[in-house]
Amino acid sequence: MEILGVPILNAVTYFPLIGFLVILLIPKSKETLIKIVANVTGFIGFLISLPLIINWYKPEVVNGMKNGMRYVIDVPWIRTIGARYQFGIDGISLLLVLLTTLLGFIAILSSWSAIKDRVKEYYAYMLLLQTGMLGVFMATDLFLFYVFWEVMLVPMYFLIGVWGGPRKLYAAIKFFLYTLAGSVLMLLAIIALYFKYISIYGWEHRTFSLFKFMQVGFDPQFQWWAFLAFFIGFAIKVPMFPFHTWLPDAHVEAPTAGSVILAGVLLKMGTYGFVRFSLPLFPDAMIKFTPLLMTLCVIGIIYGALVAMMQADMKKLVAYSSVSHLGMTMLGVFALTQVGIQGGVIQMINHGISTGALFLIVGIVYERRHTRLIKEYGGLSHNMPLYATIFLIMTLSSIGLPGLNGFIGEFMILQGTFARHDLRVYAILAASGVILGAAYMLWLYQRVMFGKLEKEENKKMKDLNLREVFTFVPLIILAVWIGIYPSFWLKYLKAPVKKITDIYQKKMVEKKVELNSKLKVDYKGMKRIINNNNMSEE
Amino acid sequence: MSLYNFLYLSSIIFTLGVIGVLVRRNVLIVLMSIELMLNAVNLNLIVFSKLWGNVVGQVFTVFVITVAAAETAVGLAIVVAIYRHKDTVNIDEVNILKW
Amino acid sequence: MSTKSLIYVSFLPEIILGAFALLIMCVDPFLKKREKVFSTIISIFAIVVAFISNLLFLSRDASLITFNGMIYFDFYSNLLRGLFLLIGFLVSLFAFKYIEREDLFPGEFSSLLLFALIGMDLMAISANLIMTFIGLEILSMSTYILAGFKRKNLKSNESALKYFILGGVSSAILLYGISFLYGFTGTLSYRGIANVLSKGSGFIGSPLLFLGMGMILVGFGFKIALAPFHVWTPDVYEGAPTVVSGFMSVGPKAAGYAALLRIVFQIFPFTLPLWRELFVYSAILTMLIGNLGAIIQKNVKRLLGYSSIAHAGYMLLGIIAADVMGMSGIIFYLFAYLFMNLGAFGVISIFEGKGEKFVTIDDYRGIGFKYPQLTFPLSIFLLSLAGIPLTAGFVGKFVLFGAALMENHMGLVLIAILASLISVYYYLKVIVYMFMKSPIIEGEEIEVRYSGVALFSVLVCAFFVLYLGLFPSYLLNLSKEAVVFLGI
Repeated sequence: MEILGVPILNAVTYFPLIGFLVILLIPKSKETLIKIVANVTGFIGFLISLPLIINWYKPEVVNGMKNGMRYVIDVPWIRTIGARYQFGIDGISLLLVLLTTLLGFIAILSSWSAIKDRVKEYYAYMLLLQTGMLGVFMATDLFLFYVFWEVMLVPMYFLIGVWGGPRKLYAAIKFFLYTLAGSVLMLLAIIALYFKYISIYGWEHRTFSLFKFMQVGFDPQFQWWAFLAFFIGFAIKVPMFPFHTWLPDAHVEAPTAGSVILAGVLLKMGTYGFVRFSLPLFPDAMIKFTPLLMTLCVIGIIYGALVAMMQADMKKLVAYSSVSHLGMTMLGVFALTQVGIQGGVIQMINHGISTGALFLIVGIVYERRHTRLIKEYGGLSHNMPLYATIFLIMTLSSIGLPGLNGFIGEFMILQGTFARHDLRVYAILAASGVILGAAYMLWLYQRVMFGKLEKEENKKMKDLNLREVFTFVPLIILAVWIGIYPSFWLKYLKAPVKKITDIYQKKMVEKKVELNSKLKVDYKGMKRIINNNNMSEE
Repeated sequence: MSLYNFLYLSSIIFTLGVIGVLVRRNVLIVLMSIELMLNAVNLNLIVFSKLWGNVVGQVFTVFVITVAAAETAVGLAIVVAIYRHKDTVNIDEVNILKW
Repeated sequence: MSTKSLIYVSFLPEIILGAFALLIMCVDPFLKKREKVFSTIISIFAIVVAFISNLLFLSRDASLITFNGMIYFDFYSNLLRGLFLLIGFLVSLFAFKYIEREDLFPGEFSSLLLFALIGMDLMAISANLIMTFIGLEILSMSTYILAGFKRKNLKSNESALKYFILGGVSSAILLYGISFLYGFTGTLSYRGIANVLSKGSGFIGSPLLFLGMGMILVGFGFKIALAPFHVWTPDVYEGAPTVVSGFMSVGPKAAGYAALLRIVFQIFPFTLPLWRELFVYSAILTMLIGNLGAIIQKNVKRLLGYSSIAHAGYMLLGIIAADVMGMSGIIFYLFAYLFMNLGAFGVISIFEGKGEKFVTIDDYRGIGFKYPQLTFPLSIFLLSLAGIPLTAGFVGKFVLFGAALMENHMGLVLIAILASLISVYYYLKVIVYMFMKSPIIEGEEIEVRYSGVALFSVLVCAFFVLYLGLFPSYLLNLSKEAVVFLGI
């Protein structure tokens, strides 16, 4: 697959870079022109990522599959150390790539009036960030992956540090150092894998390719160490419970678009890393650490929800809700069952949609009133009906109301976890997090939207304009789409997740972990969902 | 006299030089102490040259003497430059660069 | 090629540099003040000619010893010479306007720089300890003077004095070590000593040998600022004229490493367990002291001084690994370090303004978006020094740490990684001040004036930092090819 002679993955990844270069050439004073260029770049960037999904089942694409990856690009990069420029996507990356291009565009669109100073640099960084994030989801060479992983730190650091709120410096440095500390450990593990591979196959076969590593089957002792190093790197990014403290700071201080990207895409890099690298590479360690990981997830779910409930600042509330939701996502992934992992991945997308939208929603009132304190608002539904509607849809999506996207993800995760006898207790505990989630979100909605419209400033607030409505439209469509017809999306996950669970099926039989695959669900509708995604073969 | 006596002598001279650099505060004396260290080296080289019966050591000595002279010239120039500013050649008083 | 002409070919770049240096000294007194730029141009010309002659006569296949057994004519010499000439070239470009602004003497500066380059070359190519010593002294003496080049500035004088005293002591220690080695083996040529040492492992316990080797390593430790012999570095870098500090941070360090590699692997390969342990402790100390010291610095030059100590420590990992990957990693890192550190010093030399007034981090407040053509390259340099991917610094560290890891120095690598994490903090601090803090008095950022030449050289450095980060293969292969001649 090529676009104008450029391999499609390269085109998708580096198109924002072209916009970036164009913006660099435009003089500072022409702010409108810069905004237009950035928006157009974002939009076209999204459009050219669509052929990825449209052509997914075309024979030439299917035939070009290598190691289960499509649209593969594979050329030597640094021969001396054996690093290759290796791009490729499977169903999991496909969904995340589409999410990234969409949210990137929406984030750029939403900044039109929010960013007033240093417009040029702002959009330049946004587009640079876009390229970095896309690279992370496509790289299948661990060295290349690490490079993208680190590089996107820099623009994000600037976005928080320059355009952020009052405590932006603290937040930016904390964000940078936390992530860097984790990723450096990950790098160490990557190097260790690399040398382990060399010690088996010899220096001539040096490589960083994920698929080569997957064939090896490292010894358990080594797996534990490498897994722990990867775990810390990814867990900081997710963020999982003890490593989450950078998140509220970064979210609160970042500009709205930064928060959208941060919640929608950057956090997904951590969860994606687990699914793509930790799970296939370290099966023994994964099984050994499952109880610990599950415990952390459950703590994250409940702790995040409880802390979110107590927040006075809307943005902080949404930020802590992310901790809770991502705990849920990881729960599904660590359950190591087909349904659980699929649910985890789809929940990543859901979280990107609903939390991204919630940050936009908070950003809109912040732009009008310059405060995020919940007590400053109240009764907004009277003069902002459109806003109230959208807010309600996204709140419900975040809570997991059936018919909207959140329900599908949470249900699959809980079901996938419950299917393992030894993990039932975690599923039960996690389910309580869902209830807490409903509590804090609805309470937030009630305090902001209902009641009497008392404050003078609030009375003057205008409802959404056309541009703002337009930013939400794709997100609402997706939320409903995933909620009502999830199989359309789940079918892409089927094969890649199966590849992972196959590894574990074998291991678990060896280790005699009980796996109840014939869980009966009486409720007809739910049964259909599960069957659907089991039947939708590629 | 045995070889070791010369080595002892040179090591004593060298140590004196090191102590001089560390203890004395007058730049000129520090310069002289460095010179002392170099001369200990020269003594060593010549003794070893005699021991091995080749001239390499003696040639090297000539080089060391030359270099030492050049070095002292540079050093004195620096000292003069400082003296013009501060009217002192005491190392402890030249201390604006710290931590 | 006849043997006779080979002698001159192998030494041609140094001959060219020397001739031009003398020419500048002769011509300069007769130039009027306005025409003084001419001598800088001559020196740049000399460096370019030497570079071309170095390229013309490469010795990629064989290692020859020429000049009566004094110098090696091999690819290692060629590559390192190229590195030094590159340093000289960039420093001259940065010095172009700097010297005029600070009202210094271009003639002396250029000829001293050329002499320093000769000294560096000699250190890298020498096959005999006499030659190494002479190279070292030529280099040192030129840098003593360059450090004190601002005759009327007390800081500069003090910097020169400190550098001189410690440099003198270190050469004396080095010489003392050499004399023991001579006494032990009866020869001063690298191969001769190695031959003697290879004959018996019984030597290893000998105190004379240990003393000799130890003192030689200490002498070089001073030159490349390894802890615990690093104390002079921050003071000297802070006091010396900024362009000279930039030169000192890359030039003598590169030359020191070039000579150290030869000495360690051509003279002492048989005593590897002995010196490896010394280097491990020194590396740990160096990395920690350099990075911890840099955290509290307010003066940017001093900060880079401490950071340069740390970088010497990272490079030591390559020697400790003692294999092809580690060695080539050092050479690659020297190139990477040349571009990033010299680039950083170049930008600093522009920012500080006439009389080096603005050198603290506070002065950098709020200039980020005002002079993006300088602050963005500076950010690239700093990120590269911190080891962020896509920059040359990352690849260099990757290769070095990887090599050490391959030789099972897990603990050491962990410390190195920890140290580079610490370093991220203070490099970022500079970026934070530039881009995210506003000046103490609103609207009073420092005024920056810069010439086209300086901007050009900054951009060249930035380009190479990114280029080597993206496509390091070619240079890595060259380095590999070069270190093979060290006979590991």
